[in-house]
Amino acid sequence: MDAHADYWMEPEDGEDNNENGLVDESVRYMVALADIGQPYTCEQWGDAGINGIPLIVEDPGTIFGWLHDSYNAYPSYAILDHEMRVVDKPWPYGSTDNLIQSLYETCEEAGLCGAVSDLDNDGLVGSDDNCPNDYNPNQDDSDDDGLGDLCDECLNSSGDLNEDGFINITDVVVTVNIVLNGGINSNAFTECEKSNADFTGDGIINVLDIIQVVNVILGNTAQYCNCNNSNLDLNKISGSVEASFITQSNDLIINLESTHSFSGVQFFIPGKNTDIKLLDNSHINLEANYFNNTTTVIAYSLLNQAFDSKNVIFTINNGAHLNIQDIQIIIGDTHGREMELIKSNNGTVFQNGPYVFELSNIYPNPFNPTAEISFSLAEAGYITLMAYNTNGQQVGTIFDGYQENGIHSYSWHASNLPSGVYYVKLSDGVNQQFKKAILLK
Amino acid sequence: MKKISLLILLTLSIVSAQTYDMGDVISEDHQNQSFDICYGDDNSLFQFSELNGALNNDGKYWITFIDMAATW
Repeated sequence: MDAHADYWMEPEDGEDNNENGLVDESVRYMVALADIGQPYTCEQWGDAGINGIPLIVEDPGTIFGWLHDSYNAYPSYAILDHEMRVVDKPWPYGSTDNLIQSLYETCEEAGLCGAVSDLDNDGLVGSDDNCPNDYNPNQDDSDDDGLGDLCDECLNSSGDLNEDGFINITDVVVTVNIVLNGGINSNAFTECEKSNADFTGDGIINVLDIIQVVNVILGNTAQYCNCNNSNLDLNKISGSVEASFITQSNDLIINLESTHSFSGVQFFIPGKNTDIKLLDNSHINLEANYFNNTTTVIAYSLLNQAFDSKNVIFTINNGAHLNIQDIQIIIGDTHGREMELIKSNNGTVFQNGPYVFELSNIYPNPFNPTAEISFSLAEAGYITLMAYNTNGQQVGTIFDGYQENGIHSYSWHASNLPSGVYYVKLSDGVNQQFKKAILLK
Repeated sequence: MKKISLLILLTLSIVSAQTYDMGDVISEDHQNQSFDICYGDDNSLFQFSELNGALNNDGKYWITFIDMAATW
C-alpha cells in the first residue's frame, strides 16, 4: 500500500479513522498513467492496481500536458484545492501531507469538504444551503448571486451604495467621490460600493451613473418621466455634441455645442489641471480632482437640470499646452444616456463618435507578400495610403481617393519588392500616421 | 523561408499549449473532459468535475493529489 494513499484513504462513515483530522474521504489520490500499453493495457492495469492507489486513469498525455513543468522530471505531481486551483507541483513531492491537510481543513471549515453536515441546523446542507454557517431556512438571495442575504457582504443594490435600503443624497455624494477618485479602479472604496455605484451596469463609474441615480431620487426615471417615447432605452446613445478646442493665450477653451439638452459632463485631463471654469450655468456643480496622474472633472446638477443652453464653454486655465487628443470627454443627456461626441481642432474633426484618425493595424507583420492594412477615419474625405522604403522613397500606393468616415481595410500586395523594412503612411492632408511593416520572403 | 517555418511552428506551439501554473484554476472545459478509468471506480470514465462540488451532483468538494506517472 502506498503510504500517501493509505494516509488519505478514509471510509465514508463519519469517523476520523486515520486520526488525521479527515472525517470521511475528501482527498482524491489518483494516478494519471501516461504510458498505457507499456506493458499493460488500461484494463490490465486495472486488474493489477498500483500499490493500492484508489484511482488510476488513462492519461493520453492530456493531464501531463496541462500540469507538467519543463524543469520537472517525469513523472511529476500536482495538488489541486477544492476550487480546482493548482496549489503545488512538487517534484520530488517529499512531505505534502501538511499542505493537503491544510487545504482539506480550509475546505471543511467552509462546509464544503468532509461529511456533509447541517452546521447551522436550518435543514439544508451542501450546495443547497446558500449560507452554510448561518441559520436561514428561507434562503433569501435578493441579488441572486448564490450567497444568501444573511451571509452576503454585498447585496448588489444598484445605486444604494451604503445598502441602507434607500437611494438618497448620501449615495450621490459617495458616487461623486468615487468618480473623482479613480472610478472603478479606485482603491479608496470597497468593491461593493463600486459595484453599487455602477448604476448603468457598464463596468464604468462616471457622470452617467450620477445623473441616473439623481433621477431615481427625484422620480425622474425613464419609467415615470413625461417622455414622448415610453420605450426609452437608457443604454442607447442620444444626440451628438461637437467639442471644439480653442487655445487662447495660456488657456484651453472647450466649447460644447449640442443637438439636445444635456445635464452632465465629465473630462479626463492628463496631469494636474484642476483650475477649470464654467461659463454661466450657476446651477451646475463643477468639481475637479487630481488622482493617479489624471484630473477628473465633473459638471452636474443635483436637481438634474440641463445646462442653460446647448452651447457650453469650459476654460482650463493654463491648459494651452495640453495635447487635446489626450482629453477624454463624456456627455450625458438628462436621462443619463451618453451622447455621441465629435471632436475638432481649428475646424478639423479628429474624432467622430467612436472613430478617430488612426492607422490601426498591419496584419500579418512580418508578411509575404500580402498584408492587410486597417485604419479608421473621423470624417469623410480624400486620403492616401502609401508605402515607403527606409530611404523615404515611395514604393507603393495602397489607396488614393475619397473615403467615408469609419473603419476601413485594404490589401497591400508587395510581391514586386525585396525583403526588408517598409513604412506605411496614412494621410488626409492635415493628419498623418506611420506604421512599420516587414516583408519577409 | 526558414524563418517563416520557425515562426509558424512557434505560433502553433503557443496556440496549442494549455498549461497551468500554480495559482491557475483548471478550466471548466478541462474539468469536463473524460478519461478512461483503469482502476478504482464503478464508472468507466473519470472527469475532474466529479471532484468539484459546484459541478457534481452531490455538492461535495475534494482536494486532489495527482501522480502523473509512467512505468519507465
